[in-house]
This record gives sequence, structure tokens and C-alpha cells, in this order.
Amino acid sequence: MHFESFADFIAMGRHGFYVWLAYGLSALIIIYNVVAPLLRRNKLIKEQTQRLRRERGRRPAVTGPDQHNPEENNAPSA
Amino acid sequence: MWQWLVRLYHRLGSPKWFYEITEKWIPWLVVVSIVGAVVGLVWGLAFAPADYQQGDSFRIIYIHVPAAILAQSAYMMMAIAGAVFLIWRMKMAAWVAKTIAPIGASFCLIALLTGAIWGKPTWGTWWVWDARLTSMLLLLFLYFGVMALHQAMESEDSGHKASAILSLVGLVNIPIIKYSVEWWNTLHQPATLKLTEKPSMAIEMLIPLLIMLVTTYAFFALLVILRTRNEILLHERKRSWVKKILES
Repeated sequence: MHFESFADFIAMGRHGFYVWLAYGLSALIIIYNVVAPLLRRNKLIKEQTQRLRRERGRRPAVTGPDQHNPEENNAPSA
Repeated sequence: MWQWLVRLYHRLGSPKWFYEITEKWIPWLVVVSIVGAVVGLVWGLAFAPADYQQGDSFRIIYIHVPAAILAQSAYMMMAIAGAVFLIWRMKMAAWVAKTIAPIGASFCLIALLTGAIWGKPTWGTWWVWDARLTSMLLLLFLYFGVMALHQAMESEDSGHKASAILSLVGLVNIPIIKYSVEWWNTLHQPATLKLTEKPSMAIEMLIPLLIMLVTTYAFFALLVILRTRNEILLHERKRSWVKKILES
């Protein structure tokens, strides 16, 4: 162990402000880089699952060659 | 050997293969990243001796140097992936190139910020417009340019193409960064780590730095994998294997 006490360690030989600022800012950037893709993954899975469910729900039970476009179901019939 | 390479290339080109194999790699990369960071930082911050000239501010090296080296390697990987996309139209390569840009920019930003903070007690200034610092700032702007081109183009495909071309052109900057401390007078100290020479620092200082370097590469791989898997989920959402994942 290079330092004699914990307070000594925090002080970093009077360079504590610089050392801990450098590591603090780096930690923030690193945490963002971990959290961002995880949140995006959750959002993607949620959106795509909903889309899938919607498509399944609209599709007629018997799938034939003249399958309806899901969008057409909303159009008013003439 | 050649056949093995061809097979690897075809596999790497398959989003499904990538998605499934990385499922197994992620836990290992998480373990290496966490254990490496804990060991490397505790060793570097608490146990390594202080620098005889700089005192304890030199401990910033354990984040600064790995981040700076990685920012440059990541740029080269991004450019290579871009070239693979341009030549062979491999969409996986385009997605990897796209995901590297914000990650590389993050490491470049870490290197610049920690360098500025280190500069203050060491040189008495946060910033000087010398060759090393300026070329590193240019690297950050190249990353931003690549990220912007992905967003700016009408179609996704032309975004991939334009950013691949920019990242290839920007490769010129990489040797400039490397040799900037030798070609020009600079405040920045010469390279701490050299492949061909004996290291210029004490072994007790060097080992934690090497641990942090390996850890940073593992962590980078983890971040690229996480983001690339998101790209796969988005682009392959109509494929049956992705639907199966979504429904489970």
C-alpha cells in the first residue's frame, strides 16, 4: 500500500481534486455507455413485441393467397 | 487456413450467428471488465508508487492511456469495417462500423478530458494547441462527423457509405497522432508503452497499466456487442428467428 491512511489516499498528495475529477468524469461517460444500449434494447423489444402482437391480432385466422393488407382494415368500405 | 478464414467471414456476416454466439460471450466480457477494472484501479491508485516528478497526479495514467490507445484502435476498426462494407456490401460490417462511432468518441472524450485534468497540475495549463492534443481533438471531430453522416443521409445505406468514406479518409490522422510527440516539439510526454522497446516506467506502475489496457479492450468489445445486437434486433425484426426471441 502506497498511502498511510484512507484520508491520505483521498488527498492523493494534494492532487486529489485532479485525480478524482478525472476518474469521476470517466466513470460518468462509461456508465452512460453501458446504460444507453441496455435501455435501447428494452425499448426495441417492447416496440417490436407490440408490433408483432398487433399484426397477429389483425391477420385473418385463415391465411390464403389473397391476404389482406392490415392497413386496409381501417379504410371505410364504399 | 484460407478456408477457415472464408468460413469465419461468412459466419461474421450472419446476424443470427453473431447474435447467438455473443449471447455466450457477454457474461465473460462482463466478468473480465469488472475484475480487470477493480484489480487494475486498486493496484494503480492505491498500491503503485508515486511518480518521482509528478507525485500522485500521474495516477490519471491508468484511465488516460488505455482510453487514448483504444480511441485510436477503435477508429481503425471502424474504418476497416467501413471498407468491408464498401467492398463486399456486408451489412453486419456497416452496423459494427456505426456502433463503434459513439463508443470510440466516448473513449476519445475520456482521453481528452483526463489529459486536460492531468495537464493542469503537470504543465500548469488545461490545454495547449500542440500537435498531440490538436490531432486527438481532430479524432474526436472525425468521430462526430461519422456519427452525423449516419444521421444526415436520406437512406440508411448512403449514410453507411458516406461515413465509411469519411472514416477511411480520416485514417490519415492516426499516424499523425502517434508520431506527433516525435515530429513536433510538444508538452506531451513521449509514449509510455512501446511494443519494440523496454518500457520507460517501473514494473509496479506498468503491470496495472497493462491490466487496464486489456480490460479496456474487453469492455470495448462488450459495448460494441451490446449495440450491434440492438442493430440486429431492429433490422432483422421481420425474420422468424428474431420473432421467436421477441415472443419468448
